[in-house]
Amino acid sequence: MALPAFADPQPVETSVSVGVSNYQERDVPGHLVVGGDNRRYDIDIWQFRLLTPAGRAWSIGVDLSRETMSGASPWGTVPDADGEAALIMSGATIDDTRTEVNVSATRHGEHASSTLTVSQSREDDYDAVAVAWSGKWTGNRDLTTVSAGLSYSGDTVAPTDAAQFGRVLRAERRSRSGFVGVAQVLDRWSVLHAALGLTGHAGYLSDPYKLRDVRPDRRRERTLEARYRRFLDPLDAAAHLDYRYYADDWGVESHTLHAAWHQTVNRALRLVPNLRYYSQSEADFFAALDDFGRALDEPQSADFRLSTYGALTLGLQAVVRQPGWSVTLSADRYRASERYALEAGTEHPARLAFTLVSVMLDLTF
Amino acid sequence: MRACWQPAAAAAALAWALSACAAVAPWERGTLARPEMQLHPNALQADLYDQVYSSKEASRGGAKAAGAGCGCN
Repeated sequence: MALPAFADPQPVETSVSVGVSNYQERDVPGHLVVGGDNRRYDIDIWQFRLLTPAGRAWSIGVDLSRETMSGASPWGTVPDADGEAALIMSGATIDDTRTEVNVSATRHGEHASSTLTVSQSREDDYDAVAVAWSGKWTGNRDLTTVSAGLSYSGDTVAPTDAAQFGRVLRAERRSRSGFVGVAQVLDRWSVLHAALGLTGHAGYLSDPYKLRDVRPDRRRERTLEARYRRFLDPLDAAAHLDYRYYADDWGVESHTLHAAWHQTVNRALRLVPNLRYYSQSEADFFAALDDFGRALDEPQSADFRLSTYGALTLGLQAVVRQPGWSVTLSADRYRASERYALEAGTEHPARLAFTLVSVMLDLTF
Repeated sequence: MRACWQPAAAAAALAWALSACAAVAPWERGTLARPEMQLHPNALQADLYDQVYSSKEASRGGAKAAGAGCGCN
């Protein structure tokens, strides 16, 4: 039986998990596109995880994921006849595959654990190698768990068709991050976890595929998050409430709230309706329209991900659990809109909507 | 000097808050150990959502050591 809160005992069994997921981004309405293809990405994701005990105090984890995507992507914005932003999209010929491998080794002590993870990610145009360490310590009669972690990632960007489109040929970026957190058992039915995270990026942080995208070469991010779990005995259900505050020195600030209700239906079935709300403010250098007259070293970006908007996700999961295995089916409907933002949003023709469906199988033996 | 007091005050407040929590004996922790009471009931799914949302939104990060890769489609 797992200890509550955040403790990390050595696993007693080997577990294998496999997941298959897909989502198709909604096409951009044709009248908002002045060039390129309006059919956006169709993305498939395969995941595999192995976690196995090793020796008397260790465990080894291997994570593999493979993401394949095809479709068109926004390249830039120009004014239409009414002066509103219209999109220039890429052709529908973009095909990319990302493969990521994570290998981790964890040493488990009586009241502590320490994990070292090495990761590699490869795409046609992007390579990254990362190393991370994290630790957990329990105390206060095993009711309190303190956690901390550090990571470093070295990435290389080498855009395709760089010479043809005048893109940067090759560039590098580095990321360093750290976090501290504490999980506390509040009583027999509830747990609270809070954490603070800091991340710094340096190097080439622009999007090389945009027609005009110039971002500062440094970015400092901070996050504060809280997770609350409460079991309701009379209903045989657990309520989850997660909140994350994010801010960076590009001027982006966001709030993410996720609520989930884990309802036990019978010994084998659990249903999990959930709702996620997200709102962000725009980066200081966001511009709804690309300005091709501006100096090349002056930051600007029309990327919809740097604009002011909000997003809602409605999801439903079904978890079927039997001795030795479980299957999780889930469907999540995501929709972004400037109308959902906490502050006045910016209209943008590239707003996203998609439905993510996934099937996951977990085996223990 | 003032800066030295702030972490100490925060630590004292945290210690007070923790001491105010109810004592839960090991044999009373069965409910807390149920799968649906974990911070991440399904680790594979948590990774999936992290990847999807961090590639669609400007925010990312949290209480985990970051992995590698862009995937910024």
